[in-house]
Order: sequence, then C-alpha cells, then structure tokens
Amino acid sequence: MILQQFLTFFDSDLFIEDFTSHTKKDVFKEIANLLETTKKIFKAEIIIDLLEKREQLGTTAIGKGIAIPHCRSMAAEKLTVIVGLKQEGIDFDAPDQLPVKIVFVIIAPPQDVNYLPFLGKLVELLRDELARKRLLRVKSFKGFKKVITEFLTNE
Amino acid sequence: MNDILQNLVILQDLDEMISELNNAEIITQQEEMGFEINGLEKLTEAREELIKKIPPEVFNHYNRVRTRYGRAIAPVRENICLGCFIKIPTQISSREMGNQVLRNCENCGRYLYWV
Repeated sequence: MILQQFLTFFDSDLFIEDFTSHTKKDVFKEIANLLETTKKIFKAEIIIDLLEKREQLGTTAIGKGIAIPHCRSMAAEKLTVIVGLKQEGIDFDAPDQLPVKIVFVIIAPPQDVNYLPFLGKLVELLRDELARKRLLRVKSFKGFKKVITEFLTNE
Repeated sequence: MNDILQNLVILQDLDEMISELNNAEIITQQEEMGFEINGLEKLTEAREELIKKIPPEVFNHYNRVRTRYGRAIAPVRENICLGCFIKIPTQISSREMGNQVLRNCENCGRYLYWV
C-alpha cells in the first residue's frame, strides 16, 4: 500500500486526543459512539459487541503501549480508522503488561480489500522503534500525521 | 433499530470472523503481525448465545440464504438491495425508517438493512 493511500484512511474527525474512558470496555463504547455520531456506522452497539468478541480471541494489544483492535463488520460502509490517545494508559491485557497509550481501531466491511494491507502497513510502521516512540508522544492529529508522513516518506 | 435485525447483523459479522479463523492464510498473517488468535471456542459459545435471541424461523431462513449466497444480509442504498441489485418497491426514505422492521429482499431473500 502506497503512502498517499495509507494516509487517506486517517481522519481528524476520528482522532481522539484524550479518551475520557479509563477501561478497555469503555474505550470501545467511546469509539463506537463516535463512529455512530459521525455516521461512519449505523449502530454503535454492533461495533461494541464485535470489538469485545474480537478481544475474546486474544488481546489486540501488541505491546509497548499500543493496541490495534480490528474487525470486519457490515455496520461499516468502508474501511474506517479511529486513533485515540490516553496519556496515563489503559489496561488492555497486553502481552508485556504495559498500559496502552495509543489505540488504532480498524473497522472494515466484509468485502473490503484494503483491510489487511492497511493493517500490515500499520504494524510495519509501529515496529520501527523510533516511529513508535514519536507516535507515543504525539498530542494532536497534526503531529500524528506529521510523524507518519516523515517515517513512511523516508522508507 | 429492530432488535432481531441488529442481532442478525452481529451474527453475520461473527460468522465472518469464525470463517476467517478457519482460513490458515489469514491466521498466519495475523500471527505474523503479532496478534494472538486462540479463542475460537469462545466465539462459538458467543454465537450459540446470540442464536437464542433470534426467532427460530428467522435463524432458519438466515441459514438457508447464507448457504445459498454466502451472506444472508445485505445493505440497501437508494432503495437498491446491494446483494442482488434489485430495486426495493418501498417508500422508505431514511435509514431509521428502514431499520425499524425486519424485511427481506423479495428477489434474493436476504435480510435488508438501510445504510
């Protein structure tokens, strides 16, 4: 997936600078409500239920303060990405037990072909230690997009 | 939103998730990305619980249509069933109105939800 296409999936309306929630369960509700309010999905409860079921398969926290809850759902019309921050961290049952400070939620309709390539590209970016450390310090959508653009441009 | 319709959408999503878990290539991809995948039986249990909330005749129809087409639920946009692309003969003018009642496409039989 090329950089320009990757960047188009991030939306300032779907960037949460500071979750009001303190638990994984409430974070899912906050995200789903934002998606319903912005008309990205037609019913918040469907996404809450699905994200919780996805977690039953195993945590979507990948360690080092990052979680990527992801699933396919008919409730979404197109690939939708929400990014949220929580400076003090949220318990996500991470493999390294560290609290999660940045959450990327990816929801895609069943037939979407960009879902796995996007997920792969995101994981690849987050494996870069410097990129990860800088992303964990961002406070705004502008700063977030700047970090991603710089790292992927220099690939 | 109609409760049965909402549960059908969740069931369809859950069935897609379970189906992906039976695809070795997708599992390998996810594991290589660093995700744990080890709770299939929990999803199966969740599916059984969900089915209890759906009337048997609706669930039976869901199964029949899913066996035939792969997916038993289809979105509707501009009164077109996006499962078979046939126009729905209706006066429904909003998502809220469309999703209040459980409806089938008269052509393909899929359950419909308005997006």
